[in-house]
Amino acid sequence: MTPIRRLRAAVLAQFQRNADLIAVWVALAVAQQQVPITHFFGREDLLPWVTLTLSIVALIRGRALGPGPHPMLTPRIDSLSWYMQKLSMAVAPWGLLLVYDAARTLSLGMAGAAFGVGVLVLVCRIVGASHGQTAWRPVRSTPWLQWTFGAGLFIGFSAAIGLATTLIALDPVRWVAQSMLLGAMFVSLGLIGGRVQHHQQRRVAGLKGGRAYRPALFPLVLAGIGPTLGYAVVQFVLGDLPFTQAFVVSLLVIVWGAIVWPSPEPHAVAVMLYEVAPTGGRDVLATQTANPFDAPPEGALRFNPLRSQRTRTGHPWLVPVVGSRIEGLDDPVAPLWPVRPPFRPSHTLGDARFEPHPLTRETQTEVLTLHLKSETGAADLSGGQVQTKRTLVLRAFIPPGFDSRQRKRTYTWEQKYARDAVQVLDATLEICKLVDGDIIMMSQEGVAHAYEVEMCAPIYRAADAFRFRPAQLEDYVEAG
Amino acid sequence: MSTLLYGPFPFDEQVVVASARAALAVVTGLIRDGLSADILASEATGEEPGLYVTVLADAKGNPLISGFWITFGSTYTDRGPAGPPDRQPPFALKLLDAVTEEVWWKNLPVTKSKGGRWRPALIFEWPQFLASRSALSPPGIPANFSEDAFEEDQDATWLDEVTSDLPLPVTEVEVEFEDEEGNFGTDEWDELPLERSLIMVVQGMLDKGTAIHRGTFGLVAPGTFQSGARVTALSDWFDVLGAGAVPTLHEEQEANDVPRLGGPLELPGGRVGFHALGWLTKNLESWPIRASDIRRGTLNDRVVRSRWQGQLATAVSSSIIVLTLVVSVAFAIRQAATPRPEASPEPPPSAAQPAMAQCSAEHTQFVEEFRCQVKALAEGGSIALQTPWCGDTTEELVTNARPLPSEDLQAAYCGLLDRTEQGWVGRFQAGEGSYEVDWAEFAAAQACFNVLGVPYGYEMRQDDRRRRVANPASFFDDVSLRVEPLAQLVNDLELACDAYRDRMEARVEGAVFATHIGDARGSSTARKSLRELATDYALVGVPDELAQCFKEGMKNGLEVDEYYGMCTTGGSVPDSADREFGELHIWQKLGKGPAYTSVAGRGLIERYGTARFGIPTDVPDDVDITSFVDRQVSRATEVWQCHMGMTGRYAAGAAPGESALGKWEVRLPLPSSYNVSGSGARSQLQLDSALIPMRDDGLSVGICWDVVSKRLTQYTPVHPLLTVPDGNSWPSAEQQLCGQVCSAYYGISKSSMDDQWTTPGGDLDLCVTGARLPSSASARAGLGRGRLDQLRIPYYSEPVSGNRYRWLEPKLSDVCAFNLVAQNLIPGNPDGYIVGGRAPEEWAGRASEGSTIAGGAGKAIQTVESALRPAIGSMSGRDACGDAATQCFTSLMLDVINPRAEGDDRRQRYEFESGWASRVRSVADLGESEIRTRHPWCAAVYPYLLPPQANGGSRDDDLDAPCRRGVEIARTNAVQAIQFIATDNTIVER
Repeated sequence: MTPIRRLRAAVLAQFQRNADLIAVWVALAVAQQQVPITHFFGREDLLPWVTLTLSIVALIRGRALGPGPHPMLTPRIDSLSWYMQKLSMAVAPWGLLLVYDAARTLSLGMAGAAFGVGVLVLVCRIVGASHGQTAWRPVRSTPWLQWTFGAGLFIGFSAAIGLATTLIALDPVRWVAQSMLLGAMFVSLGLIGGRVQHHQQRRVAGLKGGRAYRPALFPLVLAGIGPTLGYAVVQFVLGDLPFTQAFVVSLLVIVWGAIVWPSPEPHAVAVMLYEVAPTGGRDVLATQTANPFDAPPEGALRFNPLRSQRTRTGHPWLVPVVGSRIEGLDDPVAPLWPVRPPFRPSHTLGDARFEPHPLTRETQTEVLTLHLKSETGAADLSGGQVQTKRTLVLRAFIPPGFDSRQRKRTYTWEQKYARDAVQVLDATLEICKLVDGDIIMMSQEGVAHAYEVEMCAPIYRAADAFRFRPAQLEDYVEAG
Repeated sequence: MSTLLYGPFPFDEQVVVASARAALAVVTGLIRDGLSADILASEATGEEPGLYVTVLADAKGNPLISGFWITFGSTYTDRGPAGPPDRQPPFALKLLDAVTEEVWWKNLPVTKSKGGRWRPALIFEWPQFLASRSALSPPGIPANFSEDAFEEDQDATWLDEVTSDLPLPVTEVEVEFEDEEGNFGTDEWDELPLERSLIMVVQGMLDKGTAIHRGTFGLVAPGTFQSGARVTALSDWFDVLGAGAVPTLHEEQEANDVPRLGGPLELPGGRVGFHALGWLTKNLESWPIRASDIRRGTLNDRVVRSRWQGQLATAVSSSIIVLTLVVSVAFAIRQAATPRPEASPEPPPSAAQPAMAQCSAEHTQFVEEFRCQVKALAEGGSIALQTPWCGDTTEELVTNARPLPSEDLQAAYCGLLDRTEQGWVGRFQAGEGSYEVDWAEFAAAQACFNVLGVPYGYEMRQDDRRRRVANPASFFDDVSLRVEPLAQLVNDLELACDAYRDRMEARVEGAVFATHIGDARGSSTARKSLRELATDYALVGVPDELAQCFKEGMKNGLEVDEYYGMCTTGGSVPDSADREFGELHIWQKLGKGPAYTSVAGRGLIERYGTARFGIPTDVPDDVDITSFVDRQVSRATEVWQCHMGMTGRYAAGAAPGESALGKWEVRLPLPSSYNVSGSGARSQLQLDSALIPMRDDGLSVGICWDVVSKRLTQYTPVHPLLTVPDGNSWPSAEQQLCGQVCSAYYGISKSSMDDQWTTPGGDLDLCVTGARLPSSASARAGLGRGRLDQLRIPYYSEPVSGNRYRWLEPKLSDVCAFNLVAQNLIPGNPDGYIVGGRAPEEWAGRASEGSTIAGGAGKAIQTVESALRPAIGSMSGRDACGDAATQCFTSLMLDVINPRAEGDDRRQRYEFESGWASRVRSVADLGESEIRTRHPWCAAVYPYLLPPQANGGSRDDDLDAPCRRGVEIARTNAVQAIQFIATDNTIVER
């Protein structure tokens, strides 16, 4: 069953990661029905529809295919420039399509339109130049030469394959040309978001161990070859697809968009611990006489996770996301200066992190794992606190994958509850798992506090995570 | 090859990973910088607290990292592990995480095996000053809990000189251990140095595969390194550790069997360490309490393949999945969408092409062209099909000018549509075959064809292409070319024409009916009754609206100009067809054009007939279309044949004044034109004489009479009134029929159809005639043909000249009396009514020699002629006087018993006899000349009209006794008959 469970988990993880692109594909499939075949988007070679899909993918996922600036440099954040960069990436494929059409039809009008689109891309790129800019400029040079060469290369390539379809009027030639145009669109889109300066920074910094930096060509090769082969296979297998089946090529572009630009993995997740107060649950004594043993005692309070109310007090908690990849393995760039290890959060709950999914080894942000080690003191039974400190986690609803079998109750008046509905952080528990909505009950010195766990937004940039104040022990232990 | 310790490096129990990575960075930096010798020259013994990197030199003298050595210091009691809930050796996980994150397989020179696995050794040492105070203190060292020891440590500064030769207290302590037989005993470790530490050995297993890096670690059980010696040499147990996997604790049973403290192991610097099962908490307690609680630790799996490998694997797997999915779905869709002839249902009718919507009633140009085509075809274009008209295009693609018709074309279109009723279709020659087109559809298709600009796909491929002609099959039948709005238009018009055609035919039939039966005017109640009776029968089972049309036709003939309100007087109240089709757009457009003008002189039905039967409006003088029209009309229904005949457009119609012979040779008028006042049968006997031969013998007396006959299928003729005349007996059937009419008329007998007999007077009039009797025998033989009665009663008043007498108009009662006597129809006399028992034919005579018609020179006539010739009362014979008296008394009797007499002349039954006697008396009282004029038969027996008693009596010996006797016999017979008639309830209710 494990392979099946692993496959199912992997498929579900992929769907979750790429839900945005799947939504785009569904929207395009619906919109496709509204497009008349006489419209430009309904062209029989499907290239406008392919380009439209790629533009939308670029707006959502598009980013530079290179490794980016040196990780120790803080890039500038500029919203307007970021929008303009996205726009330039979304518009660039249309320029290549128009060049292709102009060469295919030998139309000066098309060539003029392509030139106009090129100017638009250039303007957007210039206006959006400040976003992602870093301070270090190791080599004094101008990037115009590289940009001009790159643009000429792609324009020439698109024009060449357009001419080829005109000169050799064969279906296989046309299929290959269209596939290559799609690959060129992917590559050009990825290069537009990059900077020559980033390459220079890494080349000068070198790698750890003194090794020389070598630019990774694989992302470019994958972005160029992958969609080309995929589209070619589709066309050679299915032949010319009518516009009614344009959703097939949309799916192809969407899939390759997800491959070339995978969804980013967060560095951490902001978790909020809201203090909550019970809104009910006090047991009332039925009579004034002595209670039998099967009746609840007077005034007993049993906390019900569903009958609680948040107070105005909340505590932020930045929980790191641990991936299955070793940090620095993929980008072993040499540091520019000695790095001090970050502050280690000393949280009363112990070593908390979002660990990779046990089956897929993919990064996940749904289940928070607490490793209750002795050095954290979360379950310290020794010393003078043993009698007064107690922590447990209540869970109202059991998510899939947790143990929902009924646990034997202690008292006859108690309701049964699932095994994973209560986790007692005592000397026997090594790992505690938290999910959204869990209630953490902490009692110390006769004072009890309850905190509701809320998984908030992931943090994708390390700089944002660094600015987050790590939760300290006194935030929770000393409260109240 | 020996194991070295390189260090110490700072070790923080709270920041283990960073401590380890910092130490590794230094070591690898030295190796990378070529300073391996410094490492190999290390003389560290591990006595100082801190982190050491254990290094093993390979055969080439290169240092290889084999693990870590951690010597805990005084901070351990503050930052060390608390104990619960740890189940795994502390710090080991983070140390191994550190080497993993340093990418040991790429960046660190380690003692990995050939298979790529690395088994680092992690050795944790609690020095003597910690171990001796712990619950698991090494043997031979007393626990020193005095504060002096700590104070000495804490008071010392870096200025104090470290003296290594401080005397340490040596005591003899016994330690419990397990011998080879499994028995616990005690031993003394006198020979051991006093630096006795407590050590914990952990061995890790780091496996870097092609994609995943896995790591585990476990506590090495005490006794693993025991070699039989008292103290296991450092090199020996390091060699065991470096050789490969050593037994670690992972089985509960196994752990419980292992002693908590193993034998001494030699440590660097001459110290010894006792191998402990477990570790010390920061409170220096032994943990875990039970050895079986110790668990084997596991590192999180790490994905170590390069990112491009992962991306490529994702790309390949995703592409395969998506391609498989897409290809499968596309293939399935294609298979599902591929039509299968054996299973495909009939394709639904194609929807109207948007571009063809102009061929509809909403398109003005099409409507004008359609009206033009209808008019052209209706007015004679059907004969010259290759002549372009309206908006037709010639072979040279020259479009004809389009005259706009303004008149009402509803009737014309319906006429074109109904041409198919007589099987008239248009034919266009195409090679050896031909196109046959329905005229109405052709008009619509040609209009659409012209409006659309003569599209080639809709053109008829005819031989003669002087005119570009539409192919109606393309417009209406072809699945792909069908023009739905046009088909709907034609269908709507067909429904309208069908509805109005029934009304129009009902109206025509009504006019025909009124022309042929009875009289609507009030001058003749009997004829009006006859028409009403016939109308009632004609409308049995006919829907109300059609009956209304029929009556409207009977009343007003064919004077109608438009369909709307054609069956309602004045059109004020529309019927269902008017309501249904009055709002039909194309019907309105076809009827009232943009400039509608009434068609003077051409009624609706005439326009319809003209269009339907192809009668051109303008016929050249040299063209005779009579035969063509006759052929068309002859194929139409009888109604339209009759109509066309009545309007003079059909040669088979009746000529003015023409008549025909019906049953019993009754002469029937054949009206040649409409006359709703009535110009046909005026009596029921005429009507019956027309219907009976058509029904019984299938004979036709005229097209229009056939129409009338079909309308009267529910009507039963009243004639003959009593019995079916026998044509083989005497007199003739006609006279038998007339005798029945007389008998019924005068109430002598009663017909079962008496209540249906509406024209007794007319029928009686048809029986008898007052025509003069021709003088010549030949003329007299032919007299009466065409009339029911051929009986002529000779009587006269004054001789005109010589033997010639002037004939007077006979009374109906006289004729009927003679007829009834001649046929022996006077009841009440079983022995015979005629005096002397003479046969009726002898009494009445024959019209001519061998004839069966009574009324010739019979005895009665001979008697009267002879009696009247010299003088009144000149007869003397009994029979002769009886013959004349019988006629006289019977005639007077009919006058008395006539139930249809009016005023004082009508008598009740009890008055019959007295009335008759009074009547006889009044005649007898007339003068001679007057009685000759008014009652010639009575004049023959004038002296004897009164009975003898009233005449003064008589005697048998008188000369005139025979005559008187004959008169009396006749009187007696008459009285008996009167008495019988007066008392016979089966005859007539009076």
